Amino acid sequence: MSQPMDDSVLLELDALLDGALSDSDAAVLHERIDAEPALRAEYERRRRIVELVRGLPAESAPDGFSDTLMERLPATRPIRALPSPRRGGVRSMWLWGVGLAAAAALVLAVSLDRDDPSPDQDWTLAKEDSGNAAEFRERNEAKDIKFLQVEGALTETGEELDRSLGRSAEMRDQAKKETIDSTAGVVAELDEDEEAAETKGTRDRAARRGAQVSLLQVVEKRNTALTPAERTRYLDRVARVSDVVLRAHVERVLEGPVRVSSAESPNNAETRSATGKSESIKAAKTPKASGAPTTSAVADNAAGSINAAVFEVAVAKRADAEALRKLLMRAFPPMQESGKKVAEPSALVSRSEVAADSADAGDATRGQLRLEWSVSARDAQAIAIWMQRIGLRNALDASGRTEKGIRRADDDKTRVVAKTATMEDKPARVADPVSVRVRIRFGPRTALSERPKGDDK
Amino acid sequence: MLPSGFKIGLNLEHANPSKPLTDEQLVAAAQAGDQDAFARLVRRHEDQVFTMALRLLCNREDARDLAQEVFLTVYQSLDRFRGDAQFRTWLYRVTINRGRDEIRRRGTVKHTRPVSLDRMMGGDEERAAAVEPAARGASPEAMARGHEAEQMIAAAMIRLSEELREVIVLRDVRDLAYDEMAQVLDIPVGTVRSRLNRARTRLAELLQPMLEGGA
Repeated sequence: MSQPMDDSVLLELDALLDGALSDSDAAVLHERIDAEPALRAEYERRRRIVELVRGLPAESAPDGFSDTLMERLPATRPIRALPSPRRGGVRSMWLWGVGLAAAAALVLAVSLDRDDPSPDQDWTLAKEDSGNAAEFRERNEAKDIKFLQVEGALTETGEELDRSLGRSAEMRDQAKKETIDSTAGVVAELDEDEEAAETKGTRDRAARRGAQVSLLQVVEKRNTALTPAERTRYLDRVARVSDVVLRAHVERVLEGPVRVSSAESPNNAETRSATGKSESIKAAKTPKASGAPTTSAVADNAAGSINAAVFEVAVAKRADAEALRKLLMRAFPPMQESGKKVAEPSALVSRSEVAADSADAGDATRGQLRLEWSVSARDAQAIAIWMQRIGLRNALDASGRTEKGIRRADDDKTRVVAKTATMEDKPARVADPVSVRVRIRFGPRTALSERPKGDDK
Repeated sequence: MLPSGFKIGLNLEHANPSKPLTDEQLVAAAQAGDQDAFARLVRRHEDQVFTMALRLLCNREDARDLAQEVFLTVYQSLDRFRGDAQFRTWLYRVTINRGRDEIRRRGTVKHTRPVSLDRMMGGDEERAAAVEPAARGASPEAMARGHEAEQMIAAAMIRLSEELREVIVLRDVRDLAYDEMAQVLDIPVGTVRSRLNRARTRLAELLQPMLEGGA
């Protein structure tokens, strides 16, 4: 048996065996090994152990391993990303636009400005939200199918109407009535879904949102066919969505304000947080009535094609904000930065430009970083999902913390206050650029309702 | 190159068939619901995961079950894979964690064909009987290639504590670098090195008869 040796020497021997020493350090250690018999004996002993273990044969998985495994998978299918835009231009883009808005609504529902925001709760909510968004996407795909069935009926009716332009008003009314009848079953089903989801509480928030969005889809499609009474009924239903984003969307679609039966103001809408507690949401964007552009809409866009998605993230520390910004710039790099053209990533097509990359907040402990892209609708969708699914967490990790580290950091009052997104209008065409804006605020107890000086957006 | 974490919109149909897809590309496709991509990932890694499970549990049936559970866990958790570490690192981490769960659930590790280390460490006759017929008179290196020797090494590994066995498996079975081991085990590199040191010292003690026999 070898003489007991100092642990530091043993660590060096292991590093030598594992090829973890630099050439010079390895040479020095080899000289010592040659000169010291005890060290040489220990080195040989450990070398043999390593060789014995490494000499164990690599095993092959049993025959049929992967087949058996794959047979067990269907019941546990992972969440899929949003489907590619379908053929049909406006309809397809509208679908994803609503999906984006709904996903944004989910994020909003994470709740901002809680009375007693616990850091752990913040992080839990952020993770929960990610799951809910995924759940929403999955569920909404099923809803899409129902919607497409409805839409099919509408299209047929529309075509019929087109062919019968010369027909009487009675005949056109009859066609509209048939359309309404054909959607009635779906609407009833959505009602049931929503009620069922509500009874299960906030855990089924995503399902409820899915039902609401599907409802909005029906409302929009049926807009021209609704009688005044039906319109009121559905607007009341929409009001229950209690979300400024979706409400703004519907206002634009219906070219008029949604009448809210409660006394809540658009600036202070009531919603439910993941904790089930009714909380005040101070919206990042205030929808304006009668289809007027909101403050963040692209001002020079023609009416009806105002496309913007706005994301806000608030973190406590500038380092986290910088990390997120850096990560976003890496994930969605600009074509042009500081006047110098950089390579276009092949994986992302149709990116047109980075319109602005502001934000030198200096050494301030409170401030914001802003990024803006003008991108294809598809890329906007990608950014939206990325922000919601993994961006935030990646950013925190990129700032040098593991998840465990984040919890520790939370103890130090570093926290994710909230994130939100708005989709103010649908793209009029697939080719229309979408303005995607990301605002990353940092500072102690930063809230989205706070608007730093100089923030004109 | 796709940025870390960006997984949306990858279309395998457009991939260059002459260039094998990376793990990360396959993960992205699997995240989008492509089961074929996941099957390819499984086939690519099943042997490594199975071998690792076998060295952790020292029992083929348990190793097969563990490997299945690992891939099921990975499949169910695909959406949470962020791409800020290699897929392989994540896969091994899941394997380690599920292996721990399994060992704690059973309370012990059972060997397919138990070999008594006491017998191995007994007198020359006993030791010879333990290693017969494959490896008698062979050098330790040659013994390691023999079935009985494998069992002796496996029996020694069973005697290691869970955390020491893990570092041996990751370093000497899976050939991970220290920093990747640290990622898999979620411990500092210094801890990895000290555990590895203790593990090898303990193994050397347990396999001393083999070492002497081969000397």
